[in-house]
Order: sequence, then structure tokens, then C-alpha cells
Amino acid sequence: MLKALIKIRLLSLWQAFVGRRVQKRANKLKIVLYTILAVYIIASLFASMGLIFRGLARPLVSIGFGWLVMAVAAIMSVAVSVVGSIFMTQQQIYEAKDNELLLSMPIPPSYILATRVLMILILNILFGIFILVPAFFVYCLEVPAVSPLMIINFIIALVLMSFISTAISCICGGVVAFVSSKMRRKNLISVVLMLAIFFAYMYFYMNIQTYTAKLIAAGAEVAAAISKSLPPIFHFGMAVTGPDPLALLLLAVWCLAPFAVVYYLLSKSFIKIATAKRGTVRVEYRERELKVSSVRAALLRKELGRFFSLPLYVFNCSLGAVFALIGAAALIVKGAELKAALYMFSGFQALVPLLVCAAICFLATTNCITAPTISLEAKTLWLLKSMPISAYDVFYAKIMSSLVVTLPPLAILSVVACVVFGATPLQWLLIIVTPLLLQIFISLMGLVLNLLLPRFDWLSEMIVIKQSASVMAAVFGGMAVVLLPVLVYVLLARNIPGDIYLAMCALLFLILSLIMLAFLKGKGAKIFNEL
Amino acid sequence: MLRIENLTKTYGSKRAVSNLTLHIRPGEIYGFIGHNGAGKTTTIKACCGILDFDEGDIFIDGLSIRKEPLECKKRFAYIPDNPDLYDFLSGIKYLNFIADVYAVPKSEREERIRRYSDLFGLTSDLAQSVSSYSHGMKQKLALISAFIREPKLLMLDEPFVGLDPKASHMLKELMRDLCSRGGAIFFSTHVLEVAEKLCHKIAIIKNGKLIVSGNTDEVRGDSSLEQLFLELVEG
Repeated sequence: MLKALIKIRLLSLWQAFVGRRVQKRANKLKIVLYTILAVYIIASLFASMGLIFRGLARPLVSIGFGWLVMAVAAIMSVAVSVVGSIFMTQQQIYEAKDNELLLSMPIPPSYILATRVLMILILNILFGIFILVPAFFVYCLEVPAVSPLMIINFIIALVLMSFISTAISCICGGVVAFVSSKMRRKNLISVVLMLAIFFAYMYFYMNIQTYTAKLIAAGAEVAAAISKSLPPIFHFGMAVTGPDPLALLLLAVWCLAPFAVVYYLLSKSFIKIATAKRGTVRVEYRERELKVSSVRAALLRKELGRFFSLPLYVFNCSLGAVFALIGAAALIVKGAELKAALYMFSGFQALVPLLVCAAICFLATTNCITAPTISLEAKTLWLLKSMPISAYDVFYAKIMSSLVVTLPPLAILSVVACVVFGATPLQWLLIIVTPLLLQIFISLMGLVLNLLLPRFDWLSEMIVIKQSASVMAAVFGGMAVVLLPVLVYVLLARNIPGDIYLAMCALLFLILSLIMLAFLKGKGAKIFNEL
Repeated sequence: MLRIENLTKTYGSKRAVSNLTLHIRPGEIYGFIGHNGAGKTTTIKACCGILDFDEGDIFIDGLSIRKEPLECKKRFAYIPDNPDLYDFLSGIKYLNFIADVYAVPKSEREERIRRYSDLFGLTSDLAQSVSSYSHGMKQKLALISAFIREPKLLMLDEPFVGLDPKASHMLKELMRDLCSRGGAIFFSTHVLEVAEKLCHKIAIIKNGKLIVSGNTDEVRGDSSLEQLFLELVEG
């Protein structure tokens, strides 16, 4: 019974990452492509982590604080694991949809809880591997010899650290579930939390060199502070780099004891948690005057409602809009410095409008709101198809919802950039219009791609928004549409005046948009009606 | 009001509906009965223009669903067996959205929403998100959204599933009322007692083929509908 439960949990974890379609209908080419993509992503993650620790390892090892490299890696590992698994913990333990079904079966509740916690533990081990393995590898390159005991201790220590991450995840997931149950807008806490995590990550990543320098300069003080206030982290460093078996034993106590306490508390209250009615704060309906809208306005409002109700959708498919606003604010504050830096190079002035436009266009490529929008209809597709509305009305609302969200931030950034860099009237026009035309093309292309590559068998919106083929194709396709003109300019067309080249790009984006629009009005509508 | 002529629909090599012909006239409540997988849902979805079909045609108020789908869709309301609605909207926003799509004038929509929500006992829950609704509440919301547009034809797939006795009674009353005003209803059900008491006409389908249809009393004869159904389906 326990084996069957573990199997079903592992399957759901696998499907969350890979999806069902790959598993069921994979052909050889698909498997090869997915494998290449997976290897590329894993290699990139390992390489980026390795680079972070490379700058840290040599100086710290040389002053005898090699264990601090692994200690810092352990802190990062716990932070990333907790952040990465907090929403899964909330869904798996506190708000699992199948709790009632499983409790109605002759399965001991302890089995249900054990398998759920095991999944979070596995996830945290995976996060640990992505942080700690590159750190350990870099550390090994800096020390004269690597003993088998070091490797064994490292593997055990990695697993042990995942227990402490899991314990913290369980506590944080419980807090998130509790707070969101008390709020009318349940997604608000997720949005706030995601925003906080995202900006904290960005801030950390942008300042990583400063932190590394400070850490190296104050190695002794940091080491003393960690050994005093963060015993598991200190023991982790010593257990791996020593390699110290006693430190490993102490690490085991520090990691397993809090985990055991959290697990005990969860097991004591699991049935209560699993059967708790987590309704939203109840709001009594009070009759108000209803707003009457046209069909298209109503459909547009519905699309925007869906978009803003899914924090994942906002974060994964409109990142460019968020960055455009941040970029505009940054330009207002630091624009003069950036302008001075760019104008330091002679002959660079003529390229500035091109560069600015390319940067804004690149941001536009990360806005792919329309790419999962047909797939997201899934079970509610019957509504659109039984209504007296044309396929083009549906497309119009989906495209407009994307443009309403993405065009204003891009326009704001363009205007700020034009003011900061002192653009000519023609450049004003081109810098504003070109990214907007590109965004219109990307919105149209995303919808076309989703019509061609719909996916209705998803269990969670996350699979469609983050992993569906149409989203990947829209993002990479959009990037190609920006990179190609840049490459053509650099390699072949540098003698063409920048303004004229920008005008050509704008024209290209307009033509591409018209092609997409023609497709949607013709074959696209037919495909939609046959879905 | 609804004329199905020689409807044939296949999924791959399987014939889900085969040469089906039915005629539902204004003022009729027409029950559509069959075992699981008999082809009821496929037929209803084809009538709504959700599913394309291979042969035959379907006419709603004299208009072909294939040739004039939008005009047809203005005339009917459809509710599937499992009403998956927009979870991210509140009940009132969902109803207002439907009223916008069907261009229900402001004063009428406010009055109808008030009336039907009160009848189904859902008024106090209209501010809640649809995601917090139970299956029965979603079913009630879907029914309210159908009635506020005052359709000429109502097509319902298992409409009584999930409804409490009061709502179930109310739905039957509203169905009769719609028909008394010249509307028509075509619905599938497994609850044979309801079909027996409510329907003017009945059609029984088996493996995609119509095996019997006509006035309820004539079809049933001296036996009960349940008895007849078992005989026909097992025979």
C-alpha cells in the first residue's frame, strides 16, 4: 500500500515537471529534443552555480577557511529549497485536493503524510544537488587531494541538509496556507510572496560580487559568526571539508531533530489539517447596479480576470512588462550615468537608438501572455464554443488582454529612454513604435502557436504556463525575431543609417503581424472551431 | 424548435451517433435516455455547435447550426453534465458576463438575476468566487445563467445531478414554465422517474442508434419507463 502511494506521488511529481503528453505519446525525436533541452538547462544551472563559488573558493581555501565555501553553499541551498518548495508544501500537505479521497480509503493517515513529506524531501534533495554539487566540485578543484570519505560525507550531508529544508518548508507552507485562508483574495499572498522572492533574488544576484568580496575580506568574522549562531551550517562545512565524522554526526542531530519535531506535530494534527474546510472569507452579496458592456469588452474583462488570478501566469508570461517598469524607473534615476558611459566610446552615439530599441524589444520577447491562453480554457472551452460569438471575438479578447498589460510599460520605458538619451523626433517615433509593433506580433504569434499546439490534458495551470510547447516556441521564436535583425545589422548592414534600419525592422514587424492576423482570421478560426 | 436530421458522428472508427433523427417542437419537454456511452452527450454537444459531425444536419428554429452557428447560439442555452465555469470570477460577475455576451438589457438582467438567484437560493453567495462553490452551487449558477437569457430552447445534459430537492423541484417548475411560454427543452437524464413525470416526449438511444421515440405515455405503454428501458437496452 505504501509502495503504491509512493509510486503515485512520484508519478505526480514527474508529471509536474515533464507533463503527461511526453510520457504517453513521445516519439524518438521528441525524446531527443527534450533530452537535449534538459541537459542544456541542467548544465547551465550547474555552470552558473559553479561560477558563483569559483570566485569564493580559492581565496577562502588559501586562508584556511575552505569549510566556509561549503557553509555558504549550505545556506544558499536551504534558502533555495525552502523558497522552491514552499508552494508545493502548501499544495501537498495543507491544501491537497485528494486528502478526502485518500482518507476515505483503508490507508493509514500516517502513510498519506509520510508520502507527502517524502515528495517535499525529494524536491529539496534536487534543489540541494543543484546548489551543493557545483560548490563541492569547485571546492575539490582548489584542495590538493579529495578523499573517498569526503565524497561519502558530502552525499550524506547533502541528504541531511534536505531534512532541515523540509522542516522549514513545512512550517512556512503552513503559515502561507493559514494566511491565505484568512484572506478574501487568496492569490494575493502568493503574488506578494513571489514578488518579494523575485526581487530579493534579483537584488542578491546583482550584488553577488560585492557580497563575495565582503565575505573574503571578513572571512574570519563570518566564520566565527556561523560557527556560533548557525551550528548545522558550521557542522555541514566541517563534515564535508574535514572530512569530520563527528561533525557529520552532529549535523545529523541538528537536521533530524527539528525534522522529527515538525513531522511529529504534523502527524498529530494531520487529519485535522486534511479535513479542515479552508473556505475563503465569506462575503455576503449586496445587490449593486450592474455594468453593461459589449461582448468584446466582457470577453476582455474575463481574460484579464483570469490573467491576474494566476500569479504564475503574471510572473512567467509578462516578465518583460515588469522589467520595463523597473527599467524606466532605473533610467530616471541612473539614466545620466548610463548615457555618459555609453557616450564615452567615440562613434557609439549613432548606435544608441538601435541599442535602446533592441533592449526594449528584447524585453517584449519575454511577454508571452497569449501563448498558453487557449490551453488554459481546457474544461471551460465549452462556454466559448456554445456562446454566440465568433472565433475572432475570442482571439480579439485574448490579444487585447495581452496588449493592455504589455504595451503601456513598454511605451513608458521607450518614452523615458527617448528623454534620457535625447532622441530626435524621428527616433522618438521609431523607439516607441518598433517595440510596440514587435509586441503586437508576439501576441499574435503566441495565439497562433497555441492554436497549433494546444494542450488540454493538464492537471495544474503551471504545466501549461511554464512547460507547454507553445510558450517555449513563442519565447524562443520572439527572441529569434529580435536577434536576427541584430545579427544582420552587426554582420552585414552596418553601413545603413540606424534610423533607416529601425524603420525597416518596424516594417518587418508590421508585415509579420499582418501575416499572423490573416492566419487567425482564416485558418486560425477554423482550427478553433474544431478544437 | 430543434430538428436533428440523420445525425452521424464518429470518433476514429467508432460510431458514437448513427443516423439519428429527432424533432422537438415548441412547448415540448423532450427527455433523452440511454446507457453510459450511448451517445447522448455527443448528440447534445453537436446540437450546440460544440462538436462537428460527419453527416446529417441540425436545425434550431429553422436555422442550420452548421451554416448559421451564431444565430442558432443566440436562441438556445446549454448546460453540460459537469458545469466547469470560470473559477476566477465571482458568481455575480459570471452572471453579468453571460448577460453581456447575450446582450440582456440592464434592467432585465438585474431583475432576472435577482429572481432566479432567489428561486435557487444562491443570492447570498453571489459575491463568492466560483472556485469556492460546491458542485450543486455551480449547477445552480449555470442554470441561473441559462434562464436569465430567456432562451427559446434549453439543452441540458444531466441537469438534476448535484441539485438539492428544492432546487430540483424549482428546475422542474421552470422547465414547465418555459414550455408553457412556447419554449422547448431537450435534456438527457438517467433519472427515469423524473423523465416519466416531466417529459412530454422521450427518446431512448442505444449504442448511438435511436431505438424508440415518441409521446411518453405511448412509449411507456402499460409498463414503467424503467422496465421498458431495461428491456430495450438489454434486449
